[in-house]
Amino acid sequence: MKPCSKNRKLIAWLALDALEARKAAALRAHISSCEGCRRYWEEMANVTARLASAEPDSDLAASDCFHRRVTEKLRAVESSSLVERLAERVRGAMPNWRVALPATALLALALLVMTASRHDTAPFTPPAPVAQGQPASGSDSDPAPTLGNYQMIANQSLDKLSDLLTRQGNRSLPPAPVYTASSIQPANGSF
Amino acid sequence: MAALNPTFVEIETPDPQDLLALARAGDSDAFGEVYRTHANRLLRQAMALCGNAALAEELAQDTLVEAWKCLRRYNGRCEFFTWLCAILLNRYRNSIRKNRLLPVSALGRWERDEFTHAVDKLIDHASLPDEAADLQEQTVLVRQCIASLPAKHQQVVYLRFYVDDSLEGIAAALGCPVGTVKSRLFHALDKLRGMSAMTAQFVDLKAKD
Repeated sequence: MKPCSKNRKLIAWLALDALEARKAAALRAHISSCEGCRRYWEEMANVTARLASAEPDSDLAASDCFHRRVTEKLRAVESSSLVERLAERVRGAMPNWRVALPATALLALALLVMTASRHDTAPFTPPAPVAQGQPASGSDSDPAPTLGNYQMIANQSLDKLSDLLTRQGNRSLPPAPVYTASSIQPANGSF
Repeated sequence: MAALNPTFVEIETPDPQDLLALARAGDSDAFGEVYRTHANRLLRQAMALCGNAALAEELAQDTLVEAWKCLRRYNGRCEFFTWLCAILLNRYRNSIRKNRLLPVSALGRWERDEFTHAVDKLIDHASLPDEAADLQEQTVLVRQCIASLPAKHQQVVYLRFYVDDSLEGIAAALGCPVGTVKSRLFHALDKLRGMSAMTAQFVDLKAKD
């Protein structure tokens, strides 16, 4: 026969002597009339009695060696805790990295943004001056060196003509071919 | 001149609570005094737990060192010895986890004999030889049954039956509500009730005399 489910815990606590007097009295009254609860109570009381009987009960004592070892271990802890305290102080003097790292990251980001915006609004810087002997920019748009073109530009402005001639004079022209007798092939193989 | 007469000199024994307060303030000498009053009992508990003298000594020593390290956490809501035993049980459980110690339920024949021998040392030999043998057998069986319980249940059983603190004291030592302690005790007893070694009719040999 099973015990009443609502009483199982109460019976265990009664066996542990951890039930208040009023509840204990009521439970004892119930146990006397309920077969299942009575059996459960007897088993629990048996278990608690067995547990109580296994209590260490001797004159076993800690030896001098035991105390010496404890003292040594305690000293070791004290000296290590001294080092720990020192390390803690050093750590206290250092910046808190939980704050310092995000702050550094934010600062770096701000610098990056400032540099980028400055780059966008910077005034146009003229290109470096062209070295002597190199064609000036825009020389490709110069008119072909023909007499008609020179006449046309001279009609517009003599200064422009002067500039054009200077530019074209500075331009490195490919070397002129050197003709020799051997290099001249007869048109039909004979003169 | 009575003050100079050694007959009238009183040696004041310091109050344990005062010593404990000094120890909590960092006085290692005071802690030395405090732990010496509990060392023997703690060693017996360690011996009862692991059943090996060398390991029991180490376990008890480590418990005392651990207690010194975290003494500020002791709030006085339970007996100091209960608090020490809670540390002891935790260390014992950790040792088992690290496979340094075996629970009694997992011992082989040779180790079990050694454990029986160790328990024998804990038995009161003032009783008659036959009774002592019975008592020893019962004790070994009970210890094995306890050792087969889950660690949380073992803790409350040890603290309730062998450290003998109130439920409130056990709760304070373990850092849990009283209701949890009561619940764990119920489950522990209920499991023990189901073990054949615990259900055999118990004869209280100690109560005989």
